[in-house]
This record gives sequence, C-alpha cells and structure tokens, in this order.
Amino acid sequence: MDWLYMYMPIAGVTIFWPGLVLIGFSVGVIGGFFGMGGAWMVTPGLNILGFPMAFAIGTDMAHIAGKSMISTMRHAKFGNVDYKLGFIMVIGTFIGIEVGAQLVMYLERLGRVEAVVRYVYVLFLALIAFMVFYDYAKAVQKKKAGAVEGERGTEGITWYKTFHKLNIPPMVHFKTAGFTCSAWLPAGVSFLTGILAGFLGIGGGLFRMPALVYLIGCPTHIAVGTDLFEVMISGLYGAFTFSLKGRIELVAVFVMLTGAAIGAQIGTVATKYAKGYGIRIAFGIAVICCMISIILKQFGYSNSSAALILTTIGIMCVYISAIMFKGAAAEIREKKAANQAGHPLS
Amino acid sequence: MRRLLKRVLCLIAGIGLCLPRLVWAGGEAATNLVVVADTRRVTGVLKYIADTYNTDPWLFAVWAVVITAVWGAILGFSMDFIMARSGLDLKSRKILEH
Repeated sequence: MDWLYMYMPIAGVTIFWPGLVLIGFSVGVIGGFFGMGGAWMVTPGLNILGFPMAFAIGTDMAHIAGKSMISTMRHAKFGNVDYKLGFIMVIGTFIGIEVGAQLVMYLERLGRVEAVVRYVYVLFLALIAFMVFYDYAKAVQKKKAGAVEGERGTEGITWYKTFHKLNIPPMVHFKTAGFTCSAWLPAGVSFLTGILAGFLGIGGGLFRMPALVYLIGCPTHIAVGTDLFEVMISGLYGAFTFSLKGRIELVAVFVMLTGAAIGAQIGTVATKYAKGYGIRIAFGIAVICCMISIILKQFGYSNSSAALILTTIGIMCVYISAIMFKGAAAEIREKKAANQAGHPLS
Repeated sequence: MRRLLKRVLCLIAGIGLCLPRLVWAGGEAATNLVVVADTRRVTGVLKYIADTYNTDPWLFAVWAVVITAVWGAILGFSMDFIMARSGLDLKSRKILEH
C-alpha cells in the first residue's frame, strides 16, 4: 500500500495523500457554501495527517487561495460576486490586517498575547452565533405575524438599513448586491473585520460573511460569493508571505486543490438550492462548533477538539451535498417534464 | 423558539464565565525553525521546487503564488467544462432569504 503515501520534500514527512484529497474536498464543499476559507477546519486536519503545525498553517493558506478561486469562478457565473464591493473591501481588509498585526505585536511586548487572542476569538464567535440565531428567531416571529418585507422576503435583523442612511460621500451603487450606500460603510466594516483577522491570525471569512449580511446589507448568496472573492486575494497574499517564511508545502497544496475543485462545485451549486436563512443557520452551527473546539483545546482536550471539528466537517458535507443533489435532481426532472410537454426550459 | 433562544443565551453566558480560565491557559511562544528541504528523494519538478526553497526564498514565494493561481484556474475551468455538461442551469438563481 505504499502508493497511498506521498513524500513531502519540504516538510520532510510522508503523508497519506487520499486524506489530503478528502480534506480539500470537504473544505471545498463547506467553503463554497458558506463563503469562507475554512482555516479552522484545515489546520487541525493537516496536523492529524502528520504535518508539523508550522507547515499546516502556510499550506492551508495557499490551498484556501486556490480553492476560493475555483469557488469564485462558479459563484461569478451565478452572479453572486459584486466585484466593486469586493475591491473596496479588499482595501479595507488589508489595512485592517496590518493594524491588527501591529496590535498583536504591541500586546506581545506587554506579554500574554496568546491568551488575549483566544479570549477575543471565542468572544466574537459567541457574538456571531448569537446574532445568527437571534436574527433567525426574529425573522420567524415576523413571518408568523404576517410581516413580509421587500423582495428578499422576511428578514430578522435589518441594521444595514440604518447604515445605508449614512450620507457620507462618495455614495456608491453596488449593482450586483442591489443597494446604494456610502463607500465608507464597506470600507469601514472590512477595516474592522480586517483588524480582527490580523489580530487573530486568521483569514477573516468567519467575520466578514456575517458582516456583509448584517451590517452592509448583502443578500446571503452575494455575501458568500463576494467574500470568497476577497478570501482568494487575501489567501494569495498569505501564500506569498508564508512562502517567504518557508512555511508551505506546495506538493500538498496541489493534492488538496484537486479534491477542493470537486468539493467547491458541490458547495457552490448547493447555494442555488438553499434559502438565505438555510445558509445562515448552518453557518451559525459551524461557528458554535468552531468555538467549542477552541475552548476544548485550551482546556487540554485536543483530541476531543479535533474529533468535534472532524465530525462537524463530516455532517456539514453530507448536509450540503444532500441539498445540492436533491436540488439538481429536481431541476433535471423539471426540465425533462417540460421537454416532454413541448415547453423546454431555457 | 423563545425557549431555544434562552438556552442558546445560557450556553453563551456559560462559555463567557469559563473564559477567564482560557486567558490563563495561554501556551508558550513557538520556537523559530530552520527547515531545509530534502532534495535527495525527489526528482524533476519536485527537485526544482525543493532546490528553489533551499536557495531562493523570494523566487520560491513567487512560484508558490503563481503555481497556486494557475492550478486553481486550470481546475476551475476544467470543472466548469464538466459541470456545463450536467444539464443544470448554472447561470441563474433566485435569491430568497426565508
């Protein structure tokens, strides 16, 4: 069974390569559906396969860039990527990441930086989880009361409506996302999420996706596509910096990307058949699992933490794949029926 | 639903109470590593990559970005070609939140 193992010349380890394909596939599915890189899932997976932690993070970053590129291409075809919004946010994100990194260095000089980082990470994850479920509960309540708002249907939290009233020039119309607001709003929000990303040393998709929905007012599907566009650019930048530091295993990146190419199609196409709130709720559950895994790890339960992450990945993959295959089968059936009736669907 | 919301809030509050312990659970800083790629067991392109890693970090970083982007694009276009033959409409979708 030697053929199942591959030598990684830079990390100096022999790895079970189907495991890499599986990680790539799973994160492709989940990332394409939620619009995030998924570093919190890949890094422990690589570590379990035998990668030293120093290489796991850099390798993960390059893989995320390639995987997001594949997902972005698919989302762009659906019209889920608002490039104008993406470019404005990229600028804010990069400046924010630099500020966040400086903040970490300042805390390093004071000592106990890691503890503060973990505290902030868990706190913000809890906040996001609360926001997602509170929003859902509010939307359900409104729907029961018979309130239907706009063309998007019933929405719970609509803070973005208040932010859209900010009249600070330049006012920009985002055609794909379908709203007009001050350019300072996405720039400011991405700057803040960038600070968090730089401070925590993560890509930031976990924060940006909900920020795009709740603060900027993107429909969920467009938030997913636009965030992936951003993850792609920041991932390529991350791949460059980690490569300079020598913390990347290119061979593993290739192998993982092969699996991610298939997974990303499933995750991305599944968004077509999912309602916005379906994506938000699943995202909220993923955030809770991520938060619990961090807490478990800090209390010394590393194995339980890894097991929780792997279980979450497995369940999410099955759930998203089921949405995709059920939706696709229904669409094909519908097309066949229309063809037989002599009214082919375009 | 309210009961569920209350439970979620309790869970989050509980986690908040546990946080001070997390603060003091900070680990030690990672030590600096000097890694040299083993070029004895690889040939061809892999040997070139490993050699570049050892000798020219800047060129290696540029290659890492270029190869990742190119490989991502190749896979993206290939999958696009395959998916286009699945019979699904991959160019439009309805946006419905609830």
